[in-house]
Amino acid sequence: MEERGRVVLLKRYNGAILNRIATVIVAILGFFVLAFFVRKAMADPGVFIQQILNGIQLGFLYALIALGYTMVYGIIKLINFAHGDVFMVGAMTSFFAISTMELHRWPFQLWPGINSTLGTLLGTVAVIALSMAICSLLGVTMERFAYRPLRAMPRIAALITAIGVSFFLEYFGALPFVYTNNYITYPRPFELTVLRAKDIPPWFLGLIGGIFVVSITTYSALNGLSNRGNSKAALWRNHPLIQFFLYLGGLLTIVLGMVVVLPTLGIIKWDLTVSNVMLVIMSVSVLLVVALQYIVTRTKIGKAMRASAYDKPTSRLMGINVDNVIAVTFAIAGALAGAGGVLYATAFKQVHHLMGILPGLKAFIAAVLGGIGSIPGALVGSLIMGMAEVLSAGFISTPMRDAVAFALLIIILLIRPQGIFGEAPAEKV
Amino acid sequence: MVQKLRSPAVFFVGGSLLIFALIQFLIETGKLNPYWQTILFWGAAMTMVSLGLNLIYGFNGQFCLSQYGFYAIGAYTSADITWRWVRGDPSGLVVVIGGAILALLLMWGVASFLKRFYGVSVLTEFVFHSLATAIGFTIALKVFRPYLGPYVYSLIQSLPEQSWPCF
Repeated sequence: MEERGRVVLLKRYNGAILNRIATVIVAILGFFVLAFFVRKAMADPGVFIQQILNGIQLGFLYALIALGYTMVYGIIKLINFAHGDVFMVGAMTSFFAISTMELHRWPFQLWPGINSTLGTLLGTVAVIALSMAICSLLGVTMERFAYRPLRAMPRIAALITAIGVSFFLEYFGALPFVYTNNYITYPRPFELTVLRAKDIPPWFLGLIGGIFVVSITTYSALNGLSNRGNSKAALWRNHPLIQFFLYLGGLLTIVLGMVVVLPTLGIIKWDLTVSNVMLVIMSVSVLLVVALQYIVTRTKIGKAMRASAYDKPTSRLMGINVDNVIAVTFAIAGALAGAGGVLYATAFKQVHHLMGILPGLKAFIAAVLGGIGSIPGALVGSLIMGMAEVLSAGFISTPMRDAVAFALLIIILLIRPQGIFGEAPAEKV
Repeated sequence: MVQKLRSPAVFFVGGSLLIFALIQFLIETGKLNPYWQTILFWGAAMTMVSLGLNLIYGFNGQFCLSQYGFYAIGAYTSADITWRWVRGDPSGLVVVIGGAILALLLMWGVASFLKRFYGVSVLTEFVFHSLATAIGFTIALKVFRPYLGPYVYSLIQSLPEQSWPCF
């Protein structure tokens, strides 16, 4: 500030009080939102819990896409906008595999007398595996021809290329001899069954509950031993198999317990429904997330991935083929998106050449919300995103659901810019 | 003076005016058919969008994906104002323009106020600016619309219709 030829420094005050006022305003708004949902939950707990279950299903679907975003960003710091379209290719591949090749029927054609549940399971696994393989290949091709030549260029070039690849996949798919631009009804690889209390055999519930109890007991025992300094126990505590059974058993026990056990015992009178599609989505997602965690933390390629993400030039000096590692990352990300595409189409029974845009964007946002570059962050961010979307569609406004979900993202990022699980960048002085 | 006239900005503005005059001439004489007019229109509209993006990314270094959102907001706003106006309702014009001016003034006031503090978090900036915007548009909706709306409408309607040679 200049006054009569002399510079007068503007007196500045501490902004802590303003920060507190802003926090209080946000807290009051948050309280109102919470109170709104609590009122809705109290008015009809059954519908509210049902929406939570639907949110979990959608969240797991977003998680499969978000993991791809987070892995690719983690290793080459590129937001692969074409990832949502890889998801679309996965769904489309499974559509053609089911409708023209009848891949989901292969066990029945090979062994006509096979048990129908086992046959359907094997058929579904084959469809998912084919989509995963095709999407892996697509991911690697994309990386090889679109992103690798631009790796030394400014980051904006690769980013714009990613948007270009995304448009290419969307509108190449719209060609009449590729996927067409029609909304196509998706033939599920297995029939949707709404499960109620009487449909689920007691032995199944017992098995799920037993798995959960055994896993949590084993985990607690190993945790106790590792706290006493047993290094082997610490290693076994984080074993993928234990994690898988713990997560899956826990989730299924909570869901089936709410749907089946509590109403049967007469504790609650909610009319909750859960479909076999939801159970398949949860199981496949947990399996893939645990497999990914295993690959990243316990295998040689996972170690190479982490090293390349941390410091590429030094990794090269250590003998790691960084190009191959990046290609493998794209392959894994593509496979996850492919599986996500099959499950999404199975849940919503429709495929379209533009179906990847919105789930892709939301999954990207979920990855940012959880802290981009963090695998557990992607999972948690996706579950929050799915839940926010479903709850706003159910209780606030259906057309506004995306706006509400994105507003939530803005608020969370304003409070924690690095995401929930993200690490704040170190200050370099 | 001569050097000033030779500066790129003068050439740019002069060139743009020349091109504009040429295109208007071609349209008036019927040499430019509606097909080419549409293409030129889209080209010009996209130029404006990309100029905005260039400003955000090129000068500020921020990659802004919401530019197409602004593009849509502009289109919908103009459609809403026109739709209401032809039905004798000036509220679209009054609320949007009045609210935007008021919100901008309030946000400017907030920014000047926050400048006097150090250590202000992003959340605080967001909350105070959002409040300023909300207050601005609420005043426009609750005060400008009922009290100013009829005057603005009658004032604009009373203007004599002017026909321009080019349009």
